[in-house]
Amino acid sequence: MLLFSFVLSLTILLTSWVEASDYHEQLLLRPLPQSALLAAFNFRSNTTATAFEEQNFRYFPRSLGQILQHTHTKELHLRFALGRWDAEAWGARPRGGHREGGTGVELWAWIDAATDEEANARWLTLTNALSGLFCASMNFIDSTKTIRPVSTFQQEGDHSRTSPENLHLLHGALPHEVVCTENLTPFLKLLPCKGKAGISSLLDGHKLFDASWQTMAIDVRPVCPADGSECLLEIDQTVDMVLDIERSMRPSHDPIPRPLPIENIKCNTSKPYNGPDTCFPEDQTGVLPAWSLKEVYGRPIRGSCPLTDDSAPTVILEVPEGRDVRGESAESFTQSREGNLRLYQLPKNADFDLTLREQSLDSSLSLEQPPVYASRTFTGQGQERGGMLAVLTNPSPSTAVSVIYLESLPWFMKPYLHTLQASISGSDPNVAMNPLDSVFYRPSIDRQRGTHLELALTIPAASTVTLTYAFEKAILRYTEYPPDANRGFDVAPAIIRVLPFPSTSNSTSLPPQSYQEGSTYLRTTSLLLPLPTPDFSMPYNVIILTSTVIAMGFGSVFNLLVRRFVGADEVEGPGLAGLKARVKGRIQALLARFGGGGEKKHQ
Amino acid sequence: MFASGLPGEFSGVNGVGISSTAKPKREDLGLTKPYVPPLTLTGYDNPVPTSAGPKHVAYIFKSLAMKFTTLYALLLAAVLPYLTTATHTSNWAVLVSTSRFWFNYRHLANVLSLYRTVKRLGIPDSQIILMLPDDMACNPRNTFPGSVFNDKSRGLDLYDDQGEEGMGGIEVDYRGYEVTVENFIRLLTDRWPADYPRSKRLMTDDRSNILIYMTGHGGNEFLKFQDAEEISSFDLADAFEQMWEKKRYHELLFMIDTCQANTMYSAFYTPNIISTGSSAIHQSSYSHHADQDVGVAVIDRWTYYNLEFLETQITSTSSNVTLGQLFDSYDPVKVHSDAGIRYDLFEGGEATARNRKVVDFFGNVQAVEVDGEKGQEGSLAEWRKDLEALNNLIERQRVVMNELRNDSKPLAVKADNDNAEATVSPEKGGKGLFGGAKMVDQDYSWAKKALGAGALLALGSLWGLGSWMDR
Amino acid sequence: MPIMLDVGSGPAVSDQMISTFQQKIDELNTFPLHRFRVSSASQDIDTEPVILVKLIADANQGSPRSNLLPYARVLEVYHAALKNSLEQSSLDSLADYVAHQVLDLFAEERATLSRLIPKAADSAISPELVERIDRRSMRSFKYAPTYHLTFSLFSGASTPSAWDIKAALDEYLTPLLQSFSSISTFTVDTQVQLYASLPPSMRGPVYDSESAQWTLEKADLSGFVNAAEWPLSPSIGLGPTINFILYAPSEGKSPLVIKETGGNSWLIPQWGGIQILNLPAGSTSNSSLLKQDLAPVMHTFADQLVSLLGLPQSPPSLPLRISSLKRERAASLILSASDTLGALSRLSLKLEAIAIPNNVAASVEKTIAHLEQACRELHDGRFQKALQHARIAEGEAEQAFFDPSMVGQVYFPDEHKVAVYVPLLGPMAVPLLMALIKEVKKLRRPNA
Repeated sequence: MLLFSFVLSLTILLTSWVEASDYHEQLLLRPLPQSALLAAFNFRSNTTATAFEEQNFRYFPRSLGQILQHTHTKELHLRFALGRWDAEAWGARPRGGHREGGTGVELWAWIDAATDEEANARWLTLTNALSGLFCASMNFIDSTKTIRPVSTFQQEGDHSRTSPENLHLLHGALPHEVVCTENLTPFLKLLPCKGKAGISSLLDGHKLFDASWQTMAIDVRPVCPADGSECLLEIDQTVDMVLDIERSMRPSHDPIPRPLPIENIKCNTSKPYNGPDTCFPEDQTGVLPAWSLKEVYGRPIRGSCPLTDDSAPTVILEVPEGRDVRGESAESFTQSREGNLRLYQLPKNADFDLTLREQSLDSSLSLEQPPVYASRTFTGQGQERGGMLAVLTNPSPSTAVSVIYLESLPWFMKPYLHTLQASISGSDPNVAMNPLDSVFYRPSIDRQRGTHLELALTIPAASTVTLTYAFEKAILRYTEYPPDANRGFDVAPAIIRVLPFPSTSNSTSLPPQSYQEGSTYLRTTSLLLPLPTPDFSMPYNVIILTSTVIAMGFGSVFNLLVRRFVGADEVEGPGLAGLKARVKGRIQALLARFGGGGEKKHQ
Repeated sequence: MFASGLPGEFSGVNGVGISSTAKPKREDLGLTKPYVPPLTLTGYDNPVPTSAGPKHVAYIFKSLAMKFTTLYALLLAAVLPYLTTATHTSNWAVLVSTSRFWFNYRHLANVLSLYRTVKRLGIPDSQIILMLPDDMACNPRNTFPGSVFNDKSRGLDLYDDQGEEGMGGIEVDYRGYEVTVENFIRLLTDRWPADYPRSKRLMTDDRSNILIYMTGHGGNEFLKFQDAEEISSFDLADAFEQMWEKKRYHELLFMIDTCQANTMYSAFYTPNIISTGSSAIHQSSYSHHADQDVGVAVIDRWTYYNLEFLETQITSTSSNVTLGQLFDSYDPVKVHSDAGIRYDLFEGGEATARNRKVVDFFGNVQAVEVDGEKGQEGSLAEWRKDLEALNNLIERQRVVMNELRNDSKPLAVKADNDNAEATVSPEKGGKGLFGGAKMVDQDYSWAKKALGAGALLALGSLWGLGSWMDR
Repeated sequence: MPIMLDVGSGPAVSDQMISTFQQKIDELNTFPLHRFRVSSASQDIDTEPVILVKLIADANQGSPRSNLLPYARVLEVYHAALKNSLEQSSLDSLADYVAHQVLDLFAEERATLSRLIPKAADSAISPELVERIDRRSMRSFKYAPTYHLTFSLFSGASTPSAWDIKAALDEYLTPLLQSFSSISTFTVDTQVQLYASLPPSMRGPVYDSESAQWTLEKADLSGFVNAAEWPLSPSIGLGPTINFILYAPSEGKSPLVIKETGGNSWLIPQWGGIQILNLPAGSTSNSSLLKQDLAPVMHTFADQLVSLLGLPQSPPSLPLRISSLKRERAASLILSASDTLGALSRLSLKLEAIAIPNNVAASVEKTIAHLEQACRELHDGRFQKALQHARIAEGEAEQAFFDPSMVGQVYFPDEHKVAVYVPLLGPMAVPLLMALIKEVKKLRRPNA
């Protein structure tokens, strides 16, 4: 935590030097346990408000700037995310979860509009325009996926120049959206150095989308300095990813994991069967793997982006003190050390690589403990109804924690609020309080809007809060199913905001807006909801069945209804007996002719 | 832009016949009247009912149609000699894959290979519409994350954004569930609601050549979109007809790689389309080969041989290879199906169509006009004087404009669609839809429960009373 | 198309003079779309005259000569002094001269309108004029009520990294944009991009040792714009985007010129213009371009903008050219709106499956109303209003044709209908038919 706050203060220092340079970039690398590597890229540039109004763009990308102006968006947060953050192994989320997004695409913005309808219209324009810019189908964010969160999100920018009742916060999420290289390309195009030089040259779709967890974030906010000078509009682009080192080091032409040849495996020699052809691999948990930027990313950092400020270190590596790290480059570069941090400034024109060799160290980095662990699943079975179960754990032994839990559910998942129960289980059985402080709820309207559920909870020290509620599933119309309907429908992740001040157990409700700094965010995973899916070949089946029934049944029933039934002997005319009689007569006539002829001869 | 002829008349006037395999289901408009109103642009000579309600629309249309078609018949006659020499000024490509799921990897590889070719030959991303219904590169089943290959040697990664300098990355315009028949037809006919992003629209004009490539699973006169719906060849023909009416293309090359592909273009009836398909009726199109590590087939045969030709024969943007040579390279023995080509809709027939260069459709034309030598200081000084004079002129004009504006107030000539701001349409997002959440009163008091029970009891007794009194 | 002249002069203008002029012009003018109406400057007319002819008596003049003011709609005619008797013959010759001069001014407009409406062509137009008009129409943008102009500075290296573009635009380009304001409005935005590399598909600048310059072949110019990497996305909002690019090559590749002409700017039809900035060797160290440096740049951009907007090249007076452009645009808009209506009507008749909503009918009515008004205004000479009406007509026609609800899908071919209904109705029909036949036979058989 201390280390990260140091880094945070470093970046804050940088932001105060806006006159020196308008563009800053930074890469923080932190190896995590179990051979994982957290790489946090940050790119920040800004423009003055007057230049923005006049549409003179320099470091701020013009395409995004025009969209923001056109839709009167004052603050924008856009996230593309994949994977799951393993909080038990990796600790707290980087940047306090402020740059994390839910799986898929998540977008929230403060829009300046006079009325609600105007804000909604501008929101729809914003989602359409962003879908064109970022090659993502964000135009699917319409009224069924949009909510107006009450207290979960706080403004990061300074909006003192706009009247607060005109700022509308709207939030939309697409959990099923695929995030792939075509989303990375426009992201890189927004950067001044365009992924050609500097740390952005490491960003490659092959490695980024193979990560265990990654988020691409774009945040635009107004920054007004305290001395009353001109406001700035800052764009902050962040790429955070957790890579598995071994997996990333597989060569791209042959990424299929294959066992190493026996000569390269460290064998546990204490085993009785150890021999030249039998090997029990030794436990490698204490060993820190060898890796280098070139091996992990497939390429070294190509020089530095010349637009950045020279004095701030661009690459920061957070490793235990005894770790052996070498920076390699053809040109000279500056490096320094501060505690666990190794700071590097990139050389101007030459490739830069960081190499770490395999080591077993006694000390390891202490990871910051997250304030809350959260997970969420479905319960129940069947296609009619189900239940939601969310488990929030406060690991801290002494302080209680207040959280705000936000869920935006699709309309076909209808929760019953009266079944909402929150129970505490933990070390102190005497605590009988209700952890639920307040509930903000907006029910869904079929096919028009989804459910908005926002809960304020207090989790006592060292205990677990279990939230459950029951819901019913709707049956959709035939045309509303997607082409791969049997996969199920995605439900957006729950967003949990951990409020900074520890609350006493007496407080019943918390004013949400009074906390500006210090909240951390975390998100659960998205869920897959199986809905009752029809058999899509049913129209064909119906046609065939109906036609068969008609073919077989209609004729008989019609005859039963219409025909007059008489006895067989009452019928004259050609019947079978009459036919037989005629045939008999014919044969007799023939025989008679031949017989008669014979008889005549005899006579 | 003024010299292009009139759409509907081609079928009758120009003599470019529709092939006998097309099904002529539409009647001609019946242009009979040779009456030509005098061209003074002062108004119409035929009276038009001014208070036309919706029922009069047909009448309006008919009278307009007759008026304008006769006008245009003459226009056509006059400008016909200029048509054949008009060339195109921009190139667009619409590349559509229509199948979803991992085992249809090869269809996306087909489209991405064509995408790469078209970009290599110069068409910028802003003029390419790429529709991919599923994601193969970042699919969890993909052994090679972030990569799509079209060959088992895996030498070329179709999804590589920075491997080849200057390719500029991949930009997909329509992904996932957006690839639907409706969106495709809207794309072709440009019928979008307002504020639809420009990068997803086909902004062509009458001088644009368009390459349309479609691949997926198809059958006799239909093409399946994402395993859920289908587009018929008649819908496609109608969409092209609407494009032709609105002068949205100059020439169109339509390529399709599905089973029974040739049936898909048999219904076209608008001029200036060259169509080619991978297999004839009752024939299937086959995949070329599979990659054992990827696990599925990676390219289709017909597309493979097309790409082979394009990669080996067309190496630069100024190549002179003709379409005829491309079509001649289709070998039924290699492709395992009879690829077909349709020339009859093209103006000039087979000969002209075969003489068109491949880069006319696959590459980008960008004519350039070099300015003359710019004078030095002398012209600059002159220019500054000009600017001063211009400033004075502007002042005078401003006065005149103000007068004009005052005059025109009762006429209400303000253009409706002039503002660049986001238009506010009250239909979008009605009041109740986006309203915020309200705090829920968690007072589970006994009073409410008592009230509820009491109400239930009262109603139950009322019902009992009613049924007792009924007896 | 009536155009009004205003004959104002020093001494009293008599009605005789006006009628003579009118007669002469009517004699010489054979173009059916132009109709001139001569009136006196002292008369009060409701519409602004297209051109003001000033007759200035100059005793020294032998034969008359004329002078067209470049920034006003005034044609000054210097003629020999008329005697007070104002005899008809001298008046005739003067009128003849003035009529010829005026008609010459509108020659290009006549040619353009003839290309637009071939039926109205009068005499044969010279092929160079035809070619020039064709090139202009291929090069210029289609008419739009709003154009978005984007000025971009792309530096090959890290300098220059800033430019004083706002001031330069205000001073050098805004007057021109304002003079066009009666035709279209413009929005302007600018951007700077550093480390802009040229596309690799281009053969690249070649060093020419004789002139000590880097040169580009003309054939390379079409591939100069690196669309893959340069941020040239179109502006949001209606209307086309006109891009102006100023490319500053890196020090190693400077100065960069076009080989064949030695120039440094070119125009891409219907897209925009490009200029290469070759700063003198010493000053590449400064990272910001000042307003003075941008003056010649703006000059070139202004010229390119004017040709991209389709401004005719003659007559040499700017207001006359702008008004001529206005008339041309009004005519082309009227034609295109009617074209769209015709297309819509043909479509509605051909594709019966398309449902046409009521708002399309309303748009069509509005279009027709505005078209009628536009024609009337053109007839009366109020060209600004004609353009406005034509613009609205065009907008409504486009809205009617491109209405989003008219997606003609769901086509059921007859075979499908047969395939669905025959298995259902066939087994029903057969017994019914047999029963019918039996009944008919029974009826026919005489009752035994």
